[in-house]
Amino acid sequence: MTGTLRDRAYQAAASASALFLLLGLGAVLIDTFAAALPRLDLDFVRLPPSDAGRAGGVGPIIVSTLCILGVALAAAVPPALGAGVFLAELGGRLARPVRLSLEVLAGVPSIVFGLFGNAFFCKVLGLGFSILSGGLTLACMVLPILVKATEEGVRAVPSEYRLGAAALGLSRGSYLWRIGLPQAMPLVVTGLVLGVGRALAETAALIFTSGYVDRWPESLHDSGRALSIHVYDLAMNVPGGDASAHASAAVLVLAILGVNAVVAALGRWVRTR
Amino acid sequence: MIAVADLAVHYRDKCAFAGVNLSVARGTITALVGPSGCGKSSLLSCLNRLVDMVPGARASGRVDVDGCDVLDPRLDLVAHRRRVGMIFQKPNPFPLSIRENIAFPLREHGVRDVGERVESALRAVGLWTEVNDRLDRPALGLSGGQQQRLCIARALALEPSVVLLDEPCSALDPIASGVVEDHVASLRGRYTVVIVTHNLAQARRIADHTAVFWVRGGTGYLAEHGATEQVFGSPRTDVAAAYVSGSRG
Repeated sequence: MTGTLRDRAYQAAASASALFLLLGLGAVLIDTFAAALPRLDLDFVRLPPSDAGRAGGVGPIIVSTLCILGVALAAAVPPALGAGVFLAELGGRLARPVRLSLEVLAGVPSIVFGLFGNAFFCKVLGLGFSILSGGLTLACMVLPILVKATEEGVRAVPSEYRLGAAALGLSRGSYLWRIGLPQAMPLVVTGLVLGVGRALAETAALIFTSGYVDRWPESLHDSGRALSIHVYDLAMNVPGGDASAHASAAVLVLAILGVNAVVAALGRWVRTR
Repeated sequence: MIAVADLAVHYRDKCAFAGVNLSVARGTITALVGPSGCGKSSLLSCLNRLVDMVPGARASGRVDVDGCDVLDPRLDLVAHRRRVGMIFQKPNPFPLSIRENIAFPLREHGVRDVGERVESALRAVGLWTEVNDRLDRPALGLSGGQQQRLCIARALALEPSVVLLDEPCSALDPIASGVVEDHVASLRGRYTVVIVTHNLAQARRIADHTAVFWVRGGTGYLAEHGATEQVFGSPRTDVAAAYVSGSRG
């Protein structure tokens, strides 16, 4: 009797926690989209902002955001795959310092990345306030997440494949390319989704690197305002910008969902290729 | 032709087996039998140097396969492993299509007539009629016995001279096991075969020679080696006599 009572208490507590989580997410989404609805239409995602963002839309800002994200992923994914494979397959004496530095990197506050990006990419490399600087700064930030995901993905591949490939006289490289990495894809994609989320939500690291010019970007050397910065600016600096801030936040949430869907589809394609 | 002289394998400071001398004539089937932990699989992994992939493992002594010094650190592993195929206990087809499981290693080794080789390898293990209409389906969709035969086909496609099998039937049901065993037996004459098995009846059915391994003080050793009918009919050592009669092990 006490047993079943205790079981029910556990079940109730666990269900309540799960429900609470759903309510939390629901509240955020409902609040954002309800306040966004009056401004959210096709023109909002198509037009450039006007009157400091109170009117117009976020067209150029979406483009800038996607460009920054594209630069960040293009710069971060190849070295992350390489480093993840290195940690999982080779390791050796270099593995410890590499792992340690990744952990430190993962714990650095984003504002520090912003200042570093400003000093290094904008000034030392002379890229100025630009989509390129912002993207490269974000690349540094998401690198630890992607490396960790790749390492875990490659480690999770059953060792029978590795032994089987070696017994057939296949090189390590072709094993990784045809078997190891495609099999690691589900975890790599999970890492990418986390990385994309972190990158798209980033404000502090971008203020000092990609800047906040809200015109249509013409090249990667132009400064471009990211959606998260636009939300921040409208909410904090523009009186009467609340509705636009909510609408921009809603677009940001939709953008994260959209990019994640694309990433997941890409991962599935690589796996079944 | 395989010649093993005074071979020992250590895993860090633990000795898996030591003092093994064994020769295997070309085109014959030799079964390695004995209780678990007596070094049979470790011995097998020396013949294709897969022992290199175990961290802390070290092989000493001498192994010659077709006149080639296998433990020489300068050995061309890619070429050697192409000559010495291996089948594992658990079927391990790659997560690719049935065709690619055979074609991918062939292409890696620079073979041209991949299509023909895929077909003849699948015919050699009796899979062609079973799968020729679904060559592009995932190999992992095959049954356990079919997967193991695909692994044998994959190894044979590279035209090895030696085939190593590490308990190839132990993860299969009796019927699939019988089919795989028949294909292993059919390798006699064309390939030099070394098979590890826990199934004494299987060793007796298919092997020309049988090597009985045993454990002494945690270290494996070769207790007796000879023609299969001699080892089973009139064993020279007490250990082999007790093991093959089923009273020990």
